[in-house]
Amino acid sequence: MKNRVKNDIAFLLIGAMIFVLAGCGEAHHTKEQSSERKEGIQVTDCVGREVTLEKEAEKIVDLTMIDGVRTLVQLGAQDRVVGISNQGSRIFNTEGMVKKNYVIVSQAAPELKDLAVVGDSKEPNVEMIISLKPDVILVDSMAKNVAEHIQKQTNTPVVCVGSFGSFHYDMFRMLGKIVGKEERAEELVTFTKNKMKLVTDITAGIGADERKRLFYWTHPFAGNAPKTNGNYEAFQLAGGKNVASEGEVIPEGVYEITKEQILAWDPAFIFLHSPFKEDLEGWLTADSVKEDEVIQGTEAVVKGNVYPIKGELSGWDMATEAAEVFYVAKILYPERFQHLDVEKEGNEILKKFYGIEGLYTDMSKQIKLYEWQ
Amino acid sequence: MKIQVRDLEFGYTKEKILKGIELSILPGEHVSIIGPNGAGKSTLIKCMDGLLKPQKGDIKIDGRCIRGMRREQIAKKIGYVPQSSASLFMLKVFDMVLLGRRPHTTWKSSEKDKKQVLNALRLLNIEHLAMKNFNEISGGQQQKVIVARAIAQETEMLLLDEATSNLDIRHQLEVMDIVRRLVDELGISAVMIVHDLNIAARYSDKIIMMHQGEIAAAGTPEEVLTEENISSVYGVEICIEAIKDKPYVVPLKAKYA
Amino acid sequence: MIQENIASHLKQKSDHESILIEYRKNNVKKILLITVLAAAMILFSLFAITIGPVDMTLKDAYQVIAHKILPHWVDAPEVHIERTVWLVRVPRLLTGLLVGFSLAVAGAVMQPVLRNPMASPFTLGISSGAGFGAALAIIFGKSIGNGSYYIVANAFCFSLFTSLIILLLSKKKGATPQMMILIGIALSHLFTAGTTVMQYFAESWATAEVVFWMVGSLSKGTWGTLKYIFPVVLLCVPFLIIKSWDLNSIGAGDDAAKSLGINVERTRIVLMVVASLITSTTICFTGTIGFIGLVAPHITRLMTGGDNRFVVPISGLVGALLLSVSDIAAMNIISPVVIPIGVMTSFMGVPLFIYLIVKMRRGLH
Repeated sequence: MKNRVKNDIAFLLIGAMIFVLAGCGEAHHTKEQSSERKEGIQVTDCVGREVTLEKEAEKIVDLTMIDGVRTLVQLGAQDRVVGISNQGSRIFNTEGMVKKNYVIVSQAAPELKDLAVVGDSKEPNVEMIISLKPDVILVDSMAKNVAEHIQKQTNTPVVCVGSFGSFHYDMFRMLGKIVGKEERAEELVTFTKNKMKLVTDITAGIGADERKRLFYWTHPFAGNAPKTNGNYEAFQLAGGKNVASEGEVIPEGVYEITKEQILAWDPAFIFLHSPFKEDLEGWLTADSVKEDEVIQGTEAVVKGNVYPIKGELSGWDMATEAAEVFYVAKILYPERFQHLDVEKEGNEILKKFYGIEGLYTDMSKQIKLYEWQ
Repeated sequence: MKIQVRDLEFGYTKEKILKGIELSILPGEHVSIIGPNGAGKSTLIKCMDGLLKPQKGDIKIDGRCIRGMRREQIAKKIGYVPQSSASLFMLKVFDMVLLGRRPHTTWKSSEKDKKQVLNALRLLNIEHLAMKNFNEISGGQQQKVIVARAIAQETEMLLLDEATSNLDIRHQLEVMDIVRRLVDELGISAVMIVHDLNIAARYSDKIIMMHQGEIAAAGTPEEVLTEENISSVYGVEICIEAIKDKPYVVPLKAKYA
Repeated sequence: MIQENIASHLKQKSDHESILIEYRKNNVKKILLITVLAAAMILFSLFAITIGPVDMTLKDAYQVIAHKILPHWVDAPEVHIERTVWLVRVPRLLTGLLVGFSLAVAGAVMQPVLRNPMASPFTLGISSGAGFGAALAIIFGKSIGNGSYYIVANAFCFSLFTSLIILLLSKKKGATPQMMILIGIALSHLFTAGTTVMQYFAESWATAEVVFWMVGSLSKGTWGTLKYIFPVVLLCVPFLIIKSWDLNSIGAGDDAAKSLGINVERTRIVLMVVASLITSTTICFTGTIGFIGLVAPHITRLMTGGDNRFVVPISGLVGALLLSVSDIAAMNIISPVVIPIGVMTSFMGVPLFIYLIVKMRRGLH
């Protein structure tokens, strides 16, 4: 995810440049065209590359920060992983902040902590990878420009994984195909769609004007400017209107705004990245936001509607985002979702994906998330 | 002003550039320092202005040891014209000369300071350059500007490190005339490094001849500029003629061992 | 004979006067430039406080200011207007002006002091020190300060620490500019390496925070931060302006400057300390906004020539204008997205800079 966030910023800078220099054409996509049909498994990866594997992957090396491994864990294919990225390895091996933030995946597959560490998408340890003899290598979508290079160097198919937004069903299907768990992939997709329907059926009835406007404050660090992200889908699914996606130009990721902008938006709710509020000084909490001098007049602060959320802080996890759709929906429309038991739904969703009981409850306790009352 | 140098030793490294220099310069004296390249002439001048700190010996200005003086105090007594000067910035000639007033004023220059600048410019006959950029005038003109700056500094002694070597004969003589006039009319003393032995002979009361960090000879031009002195110090064959009351050096050829 | 003397005397006198008149005219031009820039700054400020995402009329915005200055005479405006103008726009604008002024003055001083036209407030590794301190606070949660000064305190201490190391080392060995710059570059690489290593142990969000911090932003400009920046600027900037005449001498060479009565080593160290202090004080709140300090003095020299008595204060005005104009542009070009201020200053400063170089055809000095 590190690369991704860095790339967000790079994108933002380049975007700004393009805007100021007034008008460059659209970027051209060059797709790898493979005209001849080969034997084996053909997939189209997250950046549109067509990749052919000789057989179902038994050994997988994951260079993404955690997206690849997490999805494989959710598909029940963690035993196929033979190599893990630096960051990924740390998630399984470190106590403290990092682990807490990724508590779910590290709980679900603790056995991954002893895997070989193979660098990351930008700087893979090629020799180590070759010695592991993988059938496929997973690379972060943001590093797609090095995918071909790694493929040539290791003579192993490379698949790009991960993109913005969690509900990226095709990624599940693609990885399902690679590991021969297409059924499980389809099961998770259908399950998630059905769960989401429980909420969207109700929120569909809310008129555009009645939808609650909310501000998503990402990385609320005392020393830095307020930042937001227009792409966390859970808000839309829960019937909210993320003010960050209202502008004319919406960057694909995190962007800086001014506090006056929060005043101008005057959101009814503020959701605040808040993964470990007791652990980190300098991190704004719901309470400190409520006391912020400047945004006192906003509806959210006046009514005390400031809530923590996990969001995409530890990567785009379909499972936790689906759970948060319920969490957000209940906060935004308590009457409409009067009978909704968020904790029960959350636990059910997380169990479906990770196979462990009470994860949502656990997560609330361990990282103090969702305990806003 | 009187300056006395006693048993001076200096070296940037262990190797000594100046070895046991003894000399004194009296008020109203015009002294030339001559000697081949690398003899230590510039180093001596820099020591006399306190720009270099000698390892041994001392320098006294009017009986006061230079070591104990603040830079500002020295700057009120001694003006220094470096061998070459380039300014890092586009300074107007006027502003460049105005810097000479630094030891006398704090930060706002008064009318008197400006008058001094104009006088110095006029003395060197470069008033027309006043509003030019220092970096855009010729090397010879720059040299004169720096002399003007030292004059504007109103000191009792001027140290000139090859102030005339960049100049053509006309400008060279102009600068020499001016320095001579300052010595005669104002009674200041001037010490200058000169390469042209005949010019040194023509203008100076006293000549100090240096060789390998030591004073090879000192005295009036007649005493110093002898065939033996010059031939042993410079390694050349010359002969001396007396022309218009001063010794004149006629170069013959270089000597080979 | 006598008449001739009088004639030549009169001629000299008129020559004298014409030079002085020209010299004064030249200085008046520069003072005029100062006035124009100051007026531009005030006009721009009046404009800047009227624009922003919160809707209001010009009258609303000015009413806030008038009310704050004359509380008994002017009615209080609506509370959300007052909050917007007084708590957001005015402090941010003042921060931009002060930081721009300070960094430009620091740059204008450091270039002659280090005898290097490429010098800027960051040449001595001040920014990498600050970045390291900030990263330490963000990634490991270790800081000297707490609360809202959590990052600030660390950034400040580490940037000052960097310049102290340089000064102590160079004081021991004689403060030559080459040595200061080399130590500065070396330290800067060390701190950058340290920051990179830390990022390796950091989570994605922390890495992102560090990058955001490094890019710089004026968003932290509140009355609270101005309380710290303003006194330091108020003490340091006049000092640097007073000392600016000595910079002309130092620019003429160390020996020349010494012979003009300047204790070059001490002056160099004192000026570096003061310039570093303002730099640290400002960037610890804003993150690294480096370009202003490099380019504003050069733009100024291209306009006014090299007399540092004018270059230092005019650079300040140019820097203040450049940074605050850039900030307004950064906030409004693709609103609500705020373009990183560092990017914006480059977009604003570089074309102006290149235009002046081409137009003046004189090089940078």
